[in-house]
Amino acid sequence: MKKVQLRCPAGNLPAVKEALNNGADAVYIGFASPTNLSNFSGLNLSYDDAKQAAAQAHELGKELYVVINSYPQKDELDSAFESIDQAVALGVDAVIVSDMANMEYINRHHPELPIHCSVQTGSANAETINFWHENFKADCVVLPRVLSVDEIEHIVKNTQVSIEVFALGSLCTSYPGRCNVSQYITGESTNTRGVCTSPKFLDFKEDERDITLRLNNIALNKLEGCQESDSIYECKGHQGCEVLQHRKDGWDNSFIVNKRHVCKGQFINASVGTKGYLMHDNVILNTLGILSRLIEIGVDAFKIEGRQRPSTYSGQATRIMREAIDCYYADPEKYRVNPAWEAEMSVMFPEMNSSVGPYLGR
Amino acid sequence: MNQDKKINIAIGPAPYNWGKPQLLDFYCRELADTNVQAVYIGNTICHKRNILSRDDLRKIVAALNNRGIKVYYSSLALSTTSEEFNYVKDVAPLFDGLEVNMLGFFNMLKHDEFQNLEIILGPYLNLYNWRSAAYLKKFKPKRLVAPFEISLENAADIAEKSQIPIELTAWGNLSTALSWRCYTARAVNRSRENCDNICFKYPEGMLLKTVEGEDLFRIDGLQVQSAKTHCLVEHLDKLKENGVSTVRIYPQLGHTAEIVDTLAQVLEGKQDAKASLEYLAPYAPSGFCNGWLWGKAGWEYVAA
Repeated sequence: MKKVQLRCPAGNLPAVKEALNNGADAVYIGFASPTNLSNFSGLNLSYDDAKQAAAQAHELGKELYVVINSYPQKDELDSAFESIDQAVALGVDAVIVSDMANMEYINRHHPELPIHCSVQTGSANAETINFWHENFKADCVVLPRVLSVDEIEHIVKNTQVSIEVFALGSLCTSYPGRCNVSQYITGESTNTRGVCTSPKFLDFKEDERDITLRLNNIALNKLEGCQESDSIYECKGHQGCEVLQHRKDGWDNSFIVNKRHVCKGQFINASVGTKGYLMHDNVILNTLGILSRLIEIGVDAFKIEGRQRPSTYSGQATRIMREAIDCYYADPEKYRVNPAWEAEMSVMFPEMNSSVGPYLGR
Repeated sequence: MNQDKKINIAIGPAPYNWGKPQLLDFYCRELADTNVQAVYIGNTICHKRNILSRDDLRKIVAALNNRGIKVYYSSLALSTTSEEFNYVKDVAPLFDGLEVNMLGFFNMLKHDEFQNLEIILGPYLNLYNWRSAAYLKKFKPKRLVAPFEISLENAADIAEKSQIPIELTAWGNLSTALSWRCYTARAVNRSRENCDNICFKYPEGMLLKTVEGEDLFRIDGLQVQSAKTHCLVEHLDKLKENGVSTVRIYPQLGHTAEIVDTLAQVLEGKQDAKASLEYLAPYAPSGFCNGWLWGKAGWEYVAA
């Protein structure tokens, strides 16, 4: 039986090592430029680091992929093509791309380079996946997190293209490649600049009780502090006080930065008179409980999300998924979710619940 | 480039879930005396809203064709089932053409019954540069509807270098995101699978405000739109200078005919753009925006 592959994220060289040492079959990286969807300051690899990453992967008999999946505009095509040339020079095993101009360039100039269609292509049906194969010889498509398991099974049965699905990590509610919310609020988005809700647009104002988060002057959230005592500084902790624990040991900026995504904001639905987190739940994607089913319907690879996360995450997440996959193949009938994996997940993703997203229904 | 030619007006596919009587009234009566050259029909967001029968569609196409208007079917932007594909295959031949919003629909065009359809490259195809657009010239597109978020400069570059006429959205609540989740169903504690077409109760979508009370988004089922109305009435001359062939007006519940008429008057030089903006203000209850045209945040408004 062909074993499902495990493809893992790395935002820097240490993360590459962590993923490889913990059982990744392939590691995917991005260059430090707007050519990929995690174009954050201090993240991604220089050419020299990427060269080392390729050497490390190949020494272990593993694969390295480069992500070039933003959509180049008017004056950006040449730099996208240069990134492809660089990836080829590194000897990478595939590039993960979205834009047709990039695919056409690869077919013309590097016909042997395998093309993996990025999740940003939003390829949610066999017809579209077959379009990529027939027109650009795409080898693999990363499915968007919009499909049920039954729909994935239908796709697998109706294409010869290898199918990769997200197994672990962030769970965006948007249809990949078709979300312009960040562009609407900030003028930059994943498609255009490789960045969703860039922290540089984030601002917050704190008063005695609350913290108001703003993204480019638009209020995304008001984190309400203590309503029982005089101020959040004196609060001893009570249900509903969202900011206290992040304040008492000093300011934790990452708490705010992680709440910057527009879809995770708090809004008022004026039509039905509700207020709350109306778009997004505080969840992460965790498919450990349906791993058997995903393997049995014939998916070819599992992807762990999270190039933007710390290198330790790349190691931990890879190890958990590796153990789970190996556990399944050791004896499919006896596969069960190990409580230790779940315990580790709750440390990796504090205060977040696990979800299978749309896989079991929407 | 289209600099010397007249800019045409097209009516984009109706958003929300208006119900059959409202849709028939809109296409057969409200648009009857408007100065439009093309109309797009079909729900790009949710297949469950495709409630018009083949006979209804034939009737609408005939009524509009009689007035010299081309009628296109707009495909879904996100399709995950065979049923949805088969529906498009079934109804597309009733129309003059097909707006393709998902690449998979191109596979369908190999078959004879679709050979005579005029092809429009839809805004959800993510054609951000001229090379990608030019790749699709093999399908002989009549024109390309620019992705919502690209600037006029980029749109003009695509049109000039790909030599595909370009259509730009000039009026409407902008599509800012599609989701696997139905936000309308979620707002009333229903799942997408068991929504019972609850969006029918919200023919203007659901207004989302910020925690400070500012209008920010409009919920349209699986789609999140801008609450503000994207309006280019002050910049129609710039569109002409940049070779735009067609402007798209997204319909809204009521007053679409007045909006079309106003833009048509400005395009013909019969009405002042600034005065028109004032006239149109009541039809944009959350205010105007057009920042994307200038490479800015979409919610901003740049005056002429």
